Amino acid sequence: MVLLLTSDNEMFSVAEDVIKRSAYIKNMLEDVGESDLPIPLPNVESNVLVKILEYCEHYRGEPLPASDVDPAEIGDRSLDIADWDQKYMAVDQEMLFEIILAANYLDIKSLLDVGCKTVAKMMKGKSSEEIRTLFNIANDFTPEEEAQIRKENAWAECR
Amino acid sequence: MTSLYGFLAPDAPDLASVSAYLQLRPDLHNRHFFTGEVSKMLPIAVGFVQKFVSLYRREDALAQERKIDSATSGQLNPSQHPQHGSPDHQESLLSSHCRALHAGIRSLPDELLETIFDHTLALSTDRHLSLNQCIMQVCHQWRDLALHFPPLWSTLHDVLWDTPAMSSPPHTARLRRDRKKDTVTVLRYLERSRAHPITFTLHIDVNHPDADPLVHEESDRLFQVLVSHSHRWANADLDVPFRLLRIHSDSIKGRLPQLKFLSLKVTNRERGVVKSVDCFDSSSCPSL
Repeated sequence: MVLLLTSDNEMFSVAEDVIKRSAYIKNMLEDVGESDLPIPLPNVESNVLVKILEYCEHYRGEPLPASDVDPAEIGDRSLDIADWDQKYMAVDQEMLFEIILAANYLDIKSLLDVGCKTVAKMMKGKSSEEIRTLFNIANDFTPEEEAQIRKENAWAECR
Repeated sequence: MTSLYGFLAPDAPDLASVSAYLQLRPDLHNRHFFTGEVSKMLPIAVGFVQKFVSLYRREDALAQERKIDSATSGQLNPSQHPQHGSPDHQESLLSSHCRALHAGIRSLPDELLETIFDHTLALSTDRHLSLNQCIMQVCHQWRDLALHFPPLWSTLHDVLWDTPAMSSPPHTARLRRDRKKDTVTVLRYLERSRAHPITFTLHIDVNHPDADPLVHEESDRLFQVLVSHSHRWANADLDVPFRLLRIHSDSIKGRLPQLKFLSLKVTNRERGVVKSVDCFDSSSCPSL
Protein backbone atom coordinates (compact mmCIF):
# COMPACT_ATOMS: atom_id res chain seq x y z
CA MET A 1 0.00 0.00 0.00
CA VAL A 2 1.07 3.55 -0.67
CA LEU A 3 0.33 6.43 1.67
CA LEU A 4 -0.67 9.76 0.14
CA LEU A 5 -0.97 13.01 2.08
CA THR A 6 -3.19 15.66 0.51
CA SER A 7 -2.86 19.43 0.81
CA ASP A 8 -5.59 19.50 3.45
CA ASN A 9 -3.68 16.93 5.53
CA GLU A 10 -5.82 13.90 4.81
CA MET A 11 -4.04 10.57 4.56
CA PHE A 12 -5.01 7.99 1.96
CA SER A 13 -3.82 4.40 1.83
CA VAL A 14 -3.93 3.20 -1.77
CA ALA A 15 -3.04 -0.05 -3.51
CA GLU A 16 0.16 0.33 -5.46
CA ASP A 17 -1.26 -1.05 -8.71
CA VAL A 18 -4.07 1.51 -8.52
CA ILE A 19 -1.98 4.61 -8.00
CA LYS A 20 0.71 3.56 -10.45
CA ARG A 21 -1.49 4.97 -13.19
CA SER A 22 0.10 8.20 -12.02
CA ALA A 23 3.48 8.36 -13.71
CA TYR A 24 4.57 10.83 -11.04
CA ILE A 25 3.86 8.38 -8.19
CA LYS A 26 5.14 5.43 -10.20
CA ASN A 27 8.48 7.11 -10.82
CA MET A 28 8.71 8.21 -7.22
CA LEU A 29 8.10 4.67 -5.97
CA GLU A 30 10.70 3.33 -8.37
CA ASP A 31 13.24 5.96 -7.32
CA VAL A 32 12.65 5.85 -3.58
CA GLY A 33 11.62 2.23 -3.14
CA GLU A 34 9.35 0.99 -0.37
CA SER A 35 8.77 3.44 2.43
CA ASP A 36 6.35 3.95 5.30
CA LEU A 37 6.45 7.68 4.82
CA PRO A 38 3.47 9.24 3.06
CA ILE A 39 3.96 10.91 -0.29
CA PRO A 40 2.91 14.55 0.08
CA LEU A 41 0.60 15.91 -2.62
CA PRO A 42 0.62 19.65 -1.88
CA ASN A 43 -1.30 20.46 -5.05
CA VAL A 44 -4.16 18.01 -4.54
CA GLU A 45 -7.02 18.32 -2.07
CA SER A 46 -8.70 15.28 -0.57
CA ASN A 47 -12.01 15.67 -2.42
CA VAL A 48 -10.11 15.81 -5.72
CA LEU A 49 -7.92 12.85 -4.81
CA VAL A 50 -11.05 10.82 -4.11
CA LYS A 51 -12.17 11.48 -7.70
CA ILE A 52 -8.71 10.71 -9.06
CA LEU A 53 -8.62 7.41 -7.19
CA GLU A 54 -12.08 6.55 -8.52
CA TYR A 55 -10.65 6.88 -12.03
CA CYS A 56 -7.52 4.89 -11.22
CA GLU A 57 -9.58 2.17 -9.56
CA HIS A 58 -11.87 1.90 -12.59
CA TYR A 59 -8.94 1.38 -14.93
CA ARG A 60 -7.05 -0.86 -12.52
CA GLY A 61 -5.36 -3.68 -14.38
CA GLU A 62 -5.59 -2.05 -17.79
CA PRO A 63 -2.27 -1.43 -19.54
CA LEU A 64 -0.67 1.93 -18.92
CA PRO A 65 -0.23 4.17 -21.97
CA ALA A 66 3.32 4.52 -23.26
CA SER A 67 4.65 7.52 -21.39
CA ASP A 68 6.86 8.92 -24.10
CA VAL A 69 4.46 8.76 -27.05
CA ASP A 70 2.37 11.78 -27.97
CA PRO A 71 -0.99 10.54 -29.33
CA ALA A 72 -1.02 13.39 -31.85
CA GLU A 73 2.28 12.20 -33.28
CA ILE A 74 1.04 8.70 -33.97
CA GLY A 75 -2.07 10.02 -35.66
CA ASP A 76 -4.45 9.15 -32.84
CA ARG A 77 -6.66 12.20 -32.94
CA SER A 78 -9.83 10.48 -31.87
CA LEU A 79 -11.86 12.89 -29.83
CA ASP A 80 -14.32 10.28 -28.66
CA ILE A 81 -14.80 9.97 -24.93
CA ALA A 82 -15.78 6.59 -23.51
CA ASP A 83 -19.21 6.38 -21.87
CA TRP A 84 -17.80 5.75 -18.41
CA ASP A 85 -15.39 8.67 -18.79
CA GLN A 86 -18.23 10.95 -19.83
CA LYS A 87 -20.20 10.03 -16.72
CA TYR A 88 -17.08 10.39 -14.60
CA MET A 89 -16.51 13.89 -15.97
CA ALA A 90 -20.11 14.97 -15.35
CA VAL A 91 -19.09 17.20 -12.45
CA ASP A 92 -19.29 20.91 -11.83
CA GLN A 93 -16.74 23.13 -13.53
CA GLU A 94 -14.71 23.73 -10.40
CA MET A 95 -14.19 19.99 -9.92
CA LEU A 96 -13.57 19.46 -13.63
CA PHE A 97 -10.66 21.90 -13.66
CA GLU A 98 -9.38 20.54 -10.35
CA ILE A 99 -9.33 17.05 -11.87
CA ILE A 100 -7.46 18.33 -14.91
CA LEU A 101 -4.91 20.13 -12.75
CA ALA A 102 -4.45 17.08 -10.53
CA ALA A 103 -4.10 14.77 -13.54
CA ASN A 104 -1.48 17.12 -14.92
CA TYR A 105 0.39 17.24 -11.60
CA LEU A 106 0.19 13.49 -11.04
CA ASP A 107 1.00 12.86 -14.70
CA ILE A 108 -2.01 10.67 -15.51
CA LYS A 109 -2.02 11.17 -19.26
CA SER A 110 -5.25 9.36 -20.09
CA LEU A 111 -7.20 11.31 -17.48
CA LEU A 112 -5.64 14.59 -18.57
CA ASP A 113 -6.60 13.77 -22.15
CA VAL A 114 -10.20 13.02 -21.19
CA GLY A 115 -10.36 16.25 -19.18
CA CYS A 116 -9.09 18.40 -22.03
CA LYS A 117 -11.42 16.71 -24.51
CA THR A 118 -14.34 17.30 -22.17
CA VAL A 119 -13.59 21.03 -22.03
CA ALA A 120 -13.13 21.12 -25.81
CA LYS A 121 -16.55 19.50 -26.26
CA MET A 122 -18.07 22.09 -23.97
CA MET A 123 -16.66 24.79 -26.25
CA LYS A 124 -17.71 23.14 -29.49
CA GLY A 125 -20.01 25.27 -31.63
CA LYS A 126 -20.06 28.16 -29.19
CA SER A 127 -19.42 31.80 -30.01
CA SER A 128 -16.80 33.79 -28.13
CA GLU A 129 -19.55 35.41 -26.07
CA GLU A 130 -21.04 32.03 -25.18
CA ILE A 131 -17.60 30.73 -24.20
CA ARG A 132 -17.09 33.74 -21.94
CA THR A 133 -20.42 33.08 -20.28
CA LEU A 134 -19.75 29.35 -19.98
CA PHE A 135 -16.40 29.78 -18.25
CA ASN A 136 -17.06 33.11 -16.55
CA ILE A 137 -14.35 34.92 -18.49
CA ALA A 138 -14.37 38.71 -18.67
CA ASN A 139 -14.30 40.41 -22.03
CA ASP A 140 -11.21 42.57 -21.61
CA PHE A 141 -11.13 43.89 -25.17
CA THR A 142 -11.82 47.56 -25.64
CA PRO A 143 -14.38 48.51 -28.29
CA GLU A 144 -11.49 49.74 -30.44
CA GLU A 145 -9.76 46.40 -30.17
CA GLU A 146 -12.95 44.54 -31.00
CA ALA A 147 -13.38 46.69 -34.08
CA GLN A 148 -9.80 45.97 -35.12
CA ILE A 149 -10.30 42.23 -34.66
CA ARG A 150 -13.52 42.33 -36.67
CA LYS A 151 -11.68 44.13 -39.43
CA GLU A 152 -8.90 41.57 -39.37
CA ASN A 153 -11.42 38.74 -39.65
CA ALA A 154 -13.58 40.28 -42.35
CA TRP A 155 -12.46 37.52 -44.73
CA ALA A 156 -14.03 34.90 -42.51
CA GLU A 157 -17.29 36.72 -41.92
CA CYS A 158 -18.15 36.95 -45.59
CA ARG A 159 -17.78 33.21 -46.17
CA MET B 1 -13.58 39.70 6.35
CA THR B 2 -14.77 37.18 3.81
CA SER B 3 -18.39 38.00 4.56
CA LEU B 4 -17.55 41.68 4.21
CA TYR B 5 -16.34 41.01 0.71
CA GLY B 6 -19.40 38.94 0.12
CA PHE B 7 -21.53 41.88 1.14
CA LEU B 8 -19.70 44.28 -1.13
CA ALA B 9 -19.41 42.04 -4.14
CA PRO B 10 -20.38 38.39 -3.98
CA ASP B 11 -17.71 37.42 -6.46
CA ALA B 12 -14.90 39.62 -5.19
CA PRO B 13 -11.44 38.11 -4.52
CA ASP B 14 -11.09 36.12 -1.30
CA LEU B 15 -8.97 37.13 1.68
CA ALA B 16 -6.02 34.99 0.61
CA SER B 17 -5.89 36.74 -2.76
CA VAL B 18 -6.10 40.16 -1.14
CA SER B 19 -3.38 39.31 1.39
CA ALA B 20 -1.10 37.95 -1.31
CA TYR B 21 -1.64 41.07 -3.34
CA LEU B 22 -0.95 43.31 -0.35
CA GLN B 23 2.36 41.59 0.26
CA LEU B 24 3.35 42.68 -3.19
CA ARG B 25 1.97 46.19 -2.66
CA PRO B 26 3.07 47.47 0.76
CA ASP B 27 2.03 50.98 -0.26
CA LEU B 28 -1.58 49.87 0.03
CA HIS B 29 -1.29 48.62 3.61
CA ASN B 30 -3.67 50.02 6.18
CA ARG B 31 -2.87 48.71 9.64
CA HIS B 32 -6.25 49.74 11.09
CA PHE B 33 -8.00 47.66 8.54
CA PHE B 34 -6.45 44.49 9.86
CA THR B 35 -6.22 45.24 13.59
CA GLY B 36 -9.37 47.28 14.36
CA GLU B 37 -12.95 46.14 14.65
CA VAL B 38 -14.43 45.42 11.30
CA SER B 39 -17.66 47.27 12.08
CA LYS B 40 -15.75 50.50 12.64
CA MET B 41 -13.64 50.00 9.61
CA LEU B 42 -16.48 49.54 7.14
CA PRO B 43 -16.04 52.87 5.29
CA ILE B 44 -12.29 52.26 5.05
CA ALA B 45 -12.93 48.71 3.93
CA VAL B 46 -15.32 49.85 1.22
CA GLY B 47 -12.78 52.31 -0.11
CA PHE B 48 -10.00 49.79 0.13
CA VAL B 49 -11.86 47.07 -1.72
CA GLN B 50 -12.86 49.50 -4.44
CA LYS B 51 -9.28 50.69 -4.74
CA PHE B 52 -7.92 47.15 -4.76
CA VAL B 53 -10.30 45.96 -7.42
CA SER B 54 -9.64 49.07 -9.46
CA LEU B 55 -5.88 48.64 -9.20
CA TYR B 56 -6.12 44.94 -9.89
CA ARG B 57 -8.17 45.62 -12.99
CA ARG B 58 -5.78 48.25 -14.23
CA GLU B 59 -2.69 46.13 -13.58
CA ASP B 60 -4.30 43.07 -15.09
CA ALA B 61 -5.21 45.01 -18.23
CA LEU B 62 -1.72 46.47 -18.47
CA ALA B 63 -0.14 43.06 -17.95
CA GLN B 64 -2.28 41.63 -20.71
CA GLU B 65 -1.30 44.45 -23.02
CA ARG B 66 2.37 43.93 -22.26
CA LYS B 67 2.01 40.29 -23.19
CA ILE B 68 1.07 41.15 -26.73
CA ASP B 69 4.17 40.91 -28.80
CA SER B 70 4.54 44.10 -30.77
CA ALA B 71 6.42 42.26 -33.49
CA THR B 72 3.55 39.90 -34.19
CA SER B 73 1.11 40.61 -36.91
CA GLY B 74 -2.47 40.64 -35.71
CA GLN B 75 -1.38 42.48 -32.60
CA LEU B 76 -3.57 45.02 -30.96
CA ASN B 77 -2.50 48.58 -30.52
CA PRO B 78 -1.06 48.89 -26.99
CA SER B 79 -1.94 52.57 -26.89
CA GLN B 80 -5.63 51.68 -26.82
CA HIS B 81 -6.33 51.78 -23.10
CA PRO B 82 -9.75 50.84 -21.78
CA GLN B 83 -12.08 53.82 -21.82
CA HIS B 84 -14.09 54.70 -18.76
CA GLY B 85 -17.73 54.63 -19.67
CA SER B 86 -20.87 55.26 -17.73
CA PRO B 87 -21.16 54.22 -14.05
CA ASP B 88 -23.35 51.30 -15.06
CA HIS B 89 -20.82 50.18 -17.60
CA GLN B 90 -18.04 50.41 -15.02
CA GLU B 91 -20.04 48.45 -12.50
CA SER B 92 -20.77 45.79 -15.05
CA LEU B 93 -17.10 45.58 -16.01
CA LEU B 94 -16.06 45.43 -12.35
CA SER B 95 -18.49 42.64 -11.66
CA SER B 96 -17.40 40.60 -14.66
CA HIS B 97 -13.71 41.03 -13.84
CA CYS B 98 -14.29 39.91 -10.27
CA ARG B 99 -16.17 36.83 -11.44
CA ALA B 100 -13.38 36.12 -13.89
CA LEU B 101 -10.85 36.02 -11.06
CA HIS B 102 -12.59 32.91 -9.83
CA ALA B 103 -13.05 31.28 -13.22
CA GLY B 104 -11.73 27.75 -13.03
CA ILE B 105 -10.40 27.78 -16.54
CA ARG B 106 -8.03 30.61 -15.56
CA SER B 107 -6.28 28.18 -13.26
CA LEU B 108 -5.13 26.00 -16.16
CA PRO B 109 -1.53 26.41 -17.31
CA ASP B 110 -0.97 27.68 -20.83
CA GLU B 111 0.02 24.32 -22.29
CA LEU B 112 -3.26 22.75 -21.19
CA LEU B 113 -5.27 25.60 -22.67
CA GLU B 114 -3.37 25.14 -25.92
CA THR B 115 -4.22 21.45 -25.92
CA ILE B 116 -7.87 22.32 -25.34
CA PHE B 117 -7.78 24.82 -28.22
CA ASP B 118 -6.27 22.16 -30.45
CA HIS B 119 -9.00 19.65 -29.52
CA THR B 120 -11.68 22.30 -30.03
CA LEU B 121 -10.51 23.02 -33.56
CA ALA B 122 -10.32 19.30 -34.34
CA LEU B 123 -13.97 19.00 -33.26
CA SER B 124 -15.12 22.00 -35.27
CA THR B 125 -16.83 21.76 -38.62
CA ASP B 126 -15.07 25.00 -39.63
CA ARG B 127 -11.77 25.24 -37.76
CA HIS B 128 -10.95 28.65 -39.22
CA LEU B 129 -14.15 30.21 -37.95
CA SER B 130 -13.67 28.55 -34.58
CA LEU B 131 -10.13 29.83 -34.32
CA ASN B 132 -10.58 33.36 -35.63
CA GLN B 133 -14.15 34.11 -34.58
CA CYS B 134 -14.32 32.26 -31.28
CA ILE B 135 -11.07 31.38 -29.53
CA MET B 136 -9.21 34.48 -30.66
CA GLN B 137 -12.03 36.76 -29.53
CA VAL B 138 -12.65 35.49 -26.01
CA CYS B 139 -10.07 37.56 -24.13
CA HIS B 140 -6.52 38.88 -24.39
CA GLN B 141 -5.01 35.83 -22.75
CA TRP B 142 -6.62 33.39 -25.15
CA ARG B 143 -5.81 35.54 -28.15
CA ASP B 144 -2.19 35.83 -27.12
CA LEU B 145 -1.92 32.09 -26.48
CA ALA B 146 -3.50 31.18 -29.80
CA LEU B 147 -1.31 33.62 -31.72
CA HIS B 148 1.80 31.98 -30.31
CA PHE B 149 0.78 28.34 -30.68
CA PRO B 150 1.89 27.30 -34.21
CA PRO B 151 -0.06 24.00 -34.47
CA LEU B 152 -3.34 25.93 -34.46
CA TRP B 153 -2.27 27.73 -37.64
CA SER B 154 -0.68 24.79 -39.39
CA THR B 155 -3.86 23.85 -41.25
CA LEU B 156 -4.22 26.66 -43.77
CA HIS B 157 -7.63 27.80 -44.80
CA ASP B 158 -8.73 26.18 -48.05
CA VAL B 159 -8.08 28.11 -51.24
CA LEU B 160 -10.62 27.15 -53.88
CA TRP B 161 -10.32 29.46 -56.84
CA ASP B 162 -12.12 29.28 -60.09
CA THR B 163 -10.92 31.57 -62.83
CA PRO B 164 -13.93 33.04 -64.57
CA ALA B 165 -13.67 35.05 -67.71
CA MET B 166 -13.41 38.78 -67.29
CA SER B 167 -16.80 40.31 -66.62
CA SER B 168 -18.04 43.66 -65.45
CA PRO B 169 -15.48 45.94 -63.76
CA PRO B 170 -17.19 45.83 -60.32
CA HIS B 171 -17.25 42.04 -60.39
CA THR B 172 -13.62 41.84 -61.45
CA ALA B 173 -12.59 44.32 -58.77
CA ARG B 174 -14.34 42.28 -56.12
CA LEU B 175 -12.75 39.09 -57.42
CA ARG B 176 -9.30 40.64 -57.24
CA ARG B 177 -9.98 41.89 -53.73
CA ASP B 178 -11.17 38.46 -52.56
CA ARG B 179 -8.15 36.76 -54.06
CA LYS B 180 -5.81 39.16 -52.31
CA LYS B 181 -7.63 38.55 -49.02
CA ASP B 182 -7.12 34.81 -49.48
CA THR B 183 -3.43 35.33 -50.14
CA VAL B 184 -3.05 37.58 -47.13
CA THR B 185 -4.79 34.97 -44.98
CA VAL B 186 -2.53 32.19 -46.21
CA LEU B 187 0.48 34.38 -45.51
CA ARG B 188 -0.83 35.03 -42.02
CA TYR B 189 -1.24 31.31 -41.32
CA LEU B 190 2.20 30.57 -42.74
CA GLU B 191 3.75 33.17 -40.49
CA ARG B 192 1.90 32.09 -37.36
CA SER B 193 2.54 28.38 -37.93
CA ARG B 194 6.28 29.20 -37.95
CA ALA B 195 8.26 26.01 -38.66
CA HIS B 196 5.38 23.60 -38.01
CA PRO B 197 4.46 21.15 -40.81
CA ILE B 198 1.49 22.47 -42.77
CA THR B 199 -1.68 21.02 -44.23
CA PHE B 200 -3.37 22.83 -47.08
CA THR B 201 -5.80 22.61 -49.99
CA LEU B 202 -5.10 24.64 -53.10
CA HIS B 203 -7.50 24.33 -56.01
CA ILE B 204 -6.99 26.74 -58.90
CA ASP B 205 -9.32 26.14 -61.80
CA VAL B 206 -8.27 27.43 -65.22
CA ASN B 207 -11.32 26.80 -67.32
CA HIS B 208 -11.27 30.28 -68.76
CA PRO B 209 -8.01 31.07 -70.50
CA ASP B 210 -9.20 34.63 -71.14
CA ALA B 211 -9.61 35.31 -67.43
CA ASP B 212 -8.45 38.50 -65.82
CA PRO B 213 -4.63 38.48 -65.95
CA LEU B 214 -4.40 40.05 -62.50
CA VAL B 215 -6.30 37.08 -61.07
CA HIS B 216 -3.80 34.81 -62.81
CA GLU B 217 -0.99 36.81 -61.26
CA GLU B 218 -2.48 36.35 -57.81
CA SER B 219 -2.59 32.58 -58.40
CA ASP B 220 1.06 32.63 -59.38
CA ARG B 221 1.95 34.69 -56.36
CA LEU B 222 0.10 32.44 -53.93
CA PHE B 223 1.61 29.26 -55.38
CA GLN B 224 5.06 30.80 -55.22
CA VAL B 225 4.55 31.61 -51.54
CA LEU B 226 3.49 28.04 -50.80
CA VAL B 227 6.42 26.64 -52.76
CA SER B 228 8.77 28.73 -50.64
CA HIS B 229 7.46 26.70 -47.67
CA SER B 230 7.60 23.32 -49.45
CA HIS B 231 9.97 21.96 -46.79
CA ARG B 232 7.00 22.21 -44.39
CA TRP B 233 4.38 20.53 -46.58
CA ALA B 234 2.92 17.57 -44.68
CA ASN B 235 -0.53 17.14 -46.24
CA ALA B 236 -1.12 18.78 -49.60
CA ASP B 237 -4.23 18.71 -51.76
CA LEU B 238 -3.28 20.34 -55.05
CA ASP B 239 -5.44 20.95 -58.09
CA VAL B 240 -3.42 23.42 -60.14
CA PRO B 241 -2.55 24.35 -63.72
CA PHE B 242 0.37 22.46 -65.12
CA ARG B 243 1.99 25.78 -65.90
CA LEU B 244 2.48 26.50 -62.18
CA LEU B 245 4.11 23.16 -61.51
CA ARG B 246 6.36 23.51 -64.54
CA ILE B 247 7.55 26.95 -63.47
CA HIS B 248 8.21 25.93 -59.87
CA SER B 249 9.26 22.32 -60.38
CA ASP B 250 12.92 23.01 -59.64
CA SER B 251 12.05 24.85 -56.45
CA ILE B 252 9.93 21.95 -55.20
CA LYS B 253 12.10 19.04 -56.26
CA GLY B 254 14.08 17.58 -53.39
CA ARG B 255 12.49 19.95 -50.89
CA LEU B 256 9.56 17.94 -49.58
CA PRO B 257 11.08 16.07 -46.64
CA GLN B 258 7.90 16.08 -44.53
CA LEU B 259 5.29 15.39 -47.19
CA LYS B 260 3.21 12.43 -46.00
CA PHE B 261 0.05 12.84 -48.04
CA LEU B 262 -0.39 14.26 -51.52
CA SER B 263 -3.48 14.60 -53.66
CA LEU B 264 -2.45 15.98 -57.04
CA LYS B 265 -4.58 17.00 -59.99
CA VAL B 266 -3.04 18.92 -62.84
CA THR B 267 -4.81 20.69 -65.68
CA ASN B 268 -2.78 21.37 -68.78
CA ARG B 269 -3.85 24.00 -71.29
CA GLU B 270 -0.42 24.67 -72.67
CA ARG B 271 0.60 23.60 -76.14
CA GLY B 272 3.97 22.27 -77.12
CA VAL B 273 5.31 21.67 -73.63
CA VAL B 274 6.45 18.47 -71.99
CA LYS B 275 3.52 17.14 -69.98
CA SER B 276 5.39 15.77 -67.02
CA VAL B 277 7.19 16.97 -63.97
CA ASP B 278 9.27 14.90 -61.60
CA CYS B 279 9.17 17.06 -58.51
CA PHE B 280 7.08 14.53 -56.56
CA ASP B 281 9.21 11.44 -57.15
CA SER B 282 10.22 9.22 -54.25
CA SER B 283 13.62 10.84 -53.82
CA SER B 284 11.97 14.22 -53.35
CA CYS B 285 9.33 12.93 -50.93
CA PRO B 286 10.99 10.41 -48.60
CA SER B 287 8.08 10.49 -46.15
CA LEU B 288 5.33 10.06 -48.74
